[in-house]
Amino acid sequence: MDHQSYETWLLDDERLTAGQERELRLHLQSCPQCAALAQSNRALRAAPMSAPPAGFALRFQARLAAERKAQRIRNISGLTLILIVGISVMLLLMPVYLTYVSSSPAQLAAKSITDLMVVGFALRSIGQTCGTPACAATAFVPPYVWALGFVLVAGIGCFWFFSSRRFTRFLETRGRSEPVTPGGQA
Amino acid sequence: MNEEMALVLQAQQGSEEAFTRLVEQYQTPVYNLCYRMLGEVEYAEDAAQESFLRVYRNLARYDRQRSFATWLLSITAHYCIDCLRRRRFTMISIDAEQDDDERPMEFPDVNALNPEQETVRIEEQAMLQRVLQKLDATDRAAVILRYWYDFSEIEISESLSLTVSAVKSRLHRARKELARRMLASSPETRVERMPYGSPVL
Repeated sequence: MDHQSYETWLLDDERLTAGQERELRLHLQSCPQCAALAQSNRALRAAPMSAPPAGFALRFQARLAAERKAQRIRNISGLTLILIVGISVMLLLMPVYLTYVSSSPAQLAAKSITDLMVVGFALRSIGQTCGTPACAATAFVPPYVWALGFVLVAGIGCFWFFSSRRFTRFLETRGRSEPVTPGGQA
Repeated sequence: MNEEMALVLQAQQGSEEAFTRLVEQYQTPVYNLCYRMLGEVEYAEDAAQESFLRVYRNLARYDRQRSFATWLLSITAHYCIDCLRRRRFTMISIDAEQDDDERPMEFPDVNALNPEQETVRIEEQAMLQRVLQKLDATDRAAVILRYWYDFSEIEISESLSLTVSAVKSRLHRARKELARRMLASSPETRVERMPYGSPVL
């Protein structure tokens, strides 16, 4: 038998007959590669489980409690921000609302029509202002340059998103890595 | 329903006590996986706790048809692989090069039947741990799940999101690499380099 077959026996952890085992033992005496493979097999099979230092579950409970507290703080901060934004918007809209409430139905109708017209004119003028250069640009700039530009913008966006994510994760990992007393190792 | 599944159900319903019991039950396998993957005790502790936190956060997604241990170790293995990739990309750790200093020292048991054999065993285990750190992260996870947890190739493929043939070839490659490195760092090999030299020299 050739070296490859013995190597396959060792790599596949095959169950061998007594005769095959004898044959393999003979091969191991003359083949350092297979002998090393058999030695690594033995070492892997004999490797013990490493136990964590005492008090692991207690430390986990403390970490879970800290995580929950941080989550609660995040939730409260988010809620506070939403409330502040909501109240600010309400305060901004209050004068407009009060004007509407205090006026008669005829005044209200006239004001609504005027407002709608103002919005319509504003939208039209914005369309005209932006449309003219855009038409000119499409005529001059070839489509592949547009595609390239969009891809570039998307790429920068993706890069920014992933790098900020990685950076925040890195900071989280750095924050968490507190030294632990070693013990109970194999 | 067995006790473990009852604990998982209670934990899914929000019982912290049940989850703590699961942590106590699985702390050694999870910690061992992290230690074998990351090679340093402080990283192992942190990774094991983070893995349990991830399990806690994703308990609602746990499929009861699967083994809880397999699911838990799968999350741990993925987390450790991510850690190793992040570590490789974000910083070159000087500590990682000095692996012998960080590892807790193990002394031979004087009460052992054969102290010499015990010393050889300890040296062999230290060498194995050192050589294990040189493997690719996914190969390392496959070897650990196979030899420390007796996972079948199918279970490894499910845990590491690989095909069965990929697991098989990764295991073969990793085992050959381990043997090659162990052969290179074993003292007998150094003697064989100059077989005709005088033993005095």
